[in-house]
Amino acid sequence: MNDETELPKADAELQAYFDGELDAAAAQEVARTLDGDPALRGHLAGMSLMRDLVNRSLEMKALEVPRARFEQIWDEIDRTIERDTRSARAPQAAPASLWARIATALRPFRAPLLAAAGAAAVAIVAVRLSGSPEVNQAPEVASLPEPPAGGPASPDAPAPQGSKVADRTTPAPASEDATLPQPRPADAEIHGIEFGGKTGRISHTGTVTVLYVEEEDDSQKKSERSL
Amino acid sequence: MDAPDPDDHSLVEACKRGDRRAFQLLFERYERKVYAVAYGFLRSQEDALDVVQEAFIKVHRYLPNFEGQSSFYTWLYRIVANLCIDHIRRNTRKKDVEFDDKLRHDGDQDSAPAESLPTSLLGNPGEAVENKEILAAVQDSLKYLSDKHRAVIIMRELQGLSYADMAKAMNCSKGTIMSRLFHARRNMQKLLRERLENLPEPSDDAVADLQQEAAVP
Amino acid sequence: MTHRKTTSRWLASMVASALAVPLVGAAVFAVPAVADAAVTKATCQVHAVLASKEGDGTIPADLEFLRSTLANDEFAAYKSFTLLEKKSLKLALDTKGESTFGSGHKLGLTLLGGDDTRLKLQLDLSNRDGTKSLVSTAYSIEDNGLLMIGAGAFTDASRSGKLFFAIQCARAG
Repeated sequence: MNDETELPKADAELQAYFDGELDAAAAQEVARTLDGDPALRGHLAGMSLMRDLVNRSLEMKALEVPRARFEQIWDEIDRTIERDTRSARAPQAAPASLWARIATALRPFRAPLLAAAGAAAVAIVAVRLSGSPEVNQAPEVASLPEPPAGGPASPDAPAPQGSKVADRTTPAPASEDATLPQPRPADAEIHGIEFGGKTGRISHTGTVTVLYVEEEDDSQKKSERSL
Repeated sequence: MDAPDPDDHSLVEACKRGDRRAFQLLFERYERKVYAVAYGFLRSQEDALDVVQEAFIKVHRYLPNFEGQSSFYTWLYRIVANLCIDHIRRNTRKKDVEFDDKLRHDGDQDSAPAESLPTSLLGNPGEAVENKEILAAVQDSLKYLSDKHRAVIIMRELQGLSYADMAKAMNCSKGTIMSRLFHARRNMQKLLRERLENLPEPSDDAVADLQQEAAVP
Repeated sequence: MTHRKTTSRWLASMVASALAVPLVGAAVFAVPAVADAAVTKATCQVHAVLASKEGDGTIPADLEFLRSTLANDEFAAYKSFTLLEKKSLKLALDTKGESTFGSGHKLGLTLLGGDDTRLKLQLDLSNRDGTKSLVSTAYSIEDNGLLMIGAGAFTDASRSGKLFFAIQCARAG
C-alpha cells in the first residue's frame, strides 16, 4: 500500500471524521461506532495528541526567533511595498534615483573613468595654479550646507593649526567644524565583521552599504508574545 | 486551530484602502504562525524567514483580488503552503531529486495494525505538550518524515487546510491526500514512538481517563 | 587619398593632444600624489539620524548632503529624517577616536590605512549603556565614502523611529 492507494473504508472514515471532513450524517455514524469501541477511541486520542504535539513543538520553534528578526523582515516588506507603490504612481524615472542609475550603468567603467577624470582634474588644477596663487578656489564636489564658521572649506584644506589628532582612544570634541563634501556613492567593502547584538545584517545597495544591528533588549522586549 | 480574530476582515479592508499600518498589524498577528508553518515544511530558520517575507509581499500584492470567500488566514496559509512547496521543489530540483516521499520513507504502510503513541503520552497529554524532551522528539521525527508526508502533516495539523485545499496545493487528487495523510500520521507516530521508548509508563487509570475525554474530536 | 591620410593624421594628432594634456598633467602631478598615497590622517563625520515612518518626505537642510543616499530604496520605508546629532573625529593611523552620542551609543573609529583612493577603517559601536558591542567591523571605503548603520528603534520624549548613524570619512592632511 502506498500514498496513491485507496484507504480501507474504516480508516478513511475515521480520519475524515477526525479532520472534520464528513457530512453530519456520516459523522454521526462514526460517532456511534466510536461509542462502542474503546480501542478506536484510543486511536483517535493518539491522532489528537499528535496534532497537539506538532502544533506545540512548532509554536515553540517560532518563539525562538527574536522579535528583531521579524522587525527586519517587516522593514524589507515595507520597503518593497513602498517601491511597488512608487512604481505604480510614477512609472517614469524619478529624478532622485538618476544618479544611482548612472552610477550603476557606469560601474564597469568606473576605474578608467575615475583615472581619466582624475587626470583631467589635475591638469585643470595645474593650469589654474599657473594663473593664480589661491588654492581650492573651485571645490570638485559641491559643498554642503553652510560650513561652520572657521571650519575648513573642503576636506583637502589643511587641518587647523593646533588641532589635535586623536591619541589612543581619545574622546572627540562634541562640536567640530569639518564639514565634508557630499559623500561618494559607493559600497563599502567589509573585511571582517562581528555582530554583538541579537541580530545583524549587511545590505549593499550599490551606492551605500548599510549595516543593521539590533540591541538585545529591543529584540527581547516583545518576544514573549505567544502564537 | 484558533479561529481568526474578528477584526481580520476590517484590517484587510483597511489594507485595501492603502492603510499600511493595518497591514503591519496583520503581519504582526501572523508572523510567527506563518514562520511555524514554513519552518515545519522547510526545517531551516533562514528559509522559513524568507518565506514569511515572500508570503506577506505576495499577500499585499494580491490583496485587492481577495474577495473574502474564505477567511484571511486560510487564504494566507494557502499562499504560504504554495510558497513552501515551490521552495522544496526548487531545492530538490537543484539536487536532482524530485519532491517525493521516496527519501527517508519509513515504509511501514503495509504493517497492518495502526500502532498508537506510547501510553505514557496518552496518559498525560497536558504534560506531554509542555515536555521539552517530547517536543524535541517531535521535531526530530518531523525531520525524518519525507517531504510529502511532512507537507500534509503541516498543512492539516498546523494550518487546518481542507483536503480539497491540500489537493490543490499538492496538485493531486483528494483521495491521494487522504491516503498520504493517513500514512504520514502513521509514520510520524512510529518515528515518535521510537524516540520515546525510554519514557516511563503512566498508570492504566490515566490511560482510561484520557480515552474517555478524547473520544470526541 | 593623400588628403584623407593628412586629415586622419591631423585628427589623430588632435585626439592624441587632447588625451595627452590631462595625461601629462597627471604624470607631472602624480609624483607628489603617489608620495602622499599612504594615508596617515583622516577626518570623519558621524551624523545620528532619526528615520521616521511619518512625515511628508522633506529632507531637512542639515541632511541635504545625504539626500541621494536617503532617496535610495533602502530607506524608502521612511517618510522623514531628523538630524539628532553630529560628531567629528580626527583620526591618526592606528589610533582609535571615540564619541558618545546622546542616545548612549558609543562609536569608535580607527584609521587602519588606505591608499590614494580608499580608506581602511575599524568601526566599533556599542549599545546604549556602552556595556556591549553591537558591531565591530573592519571595512574599506572610497575616500569620502559613507557607511550607514541602522542601530534599531529609538524613542525620546517627542520622537520615535529608527536610529541610523551615517559615517563619512575622508583622508586629511
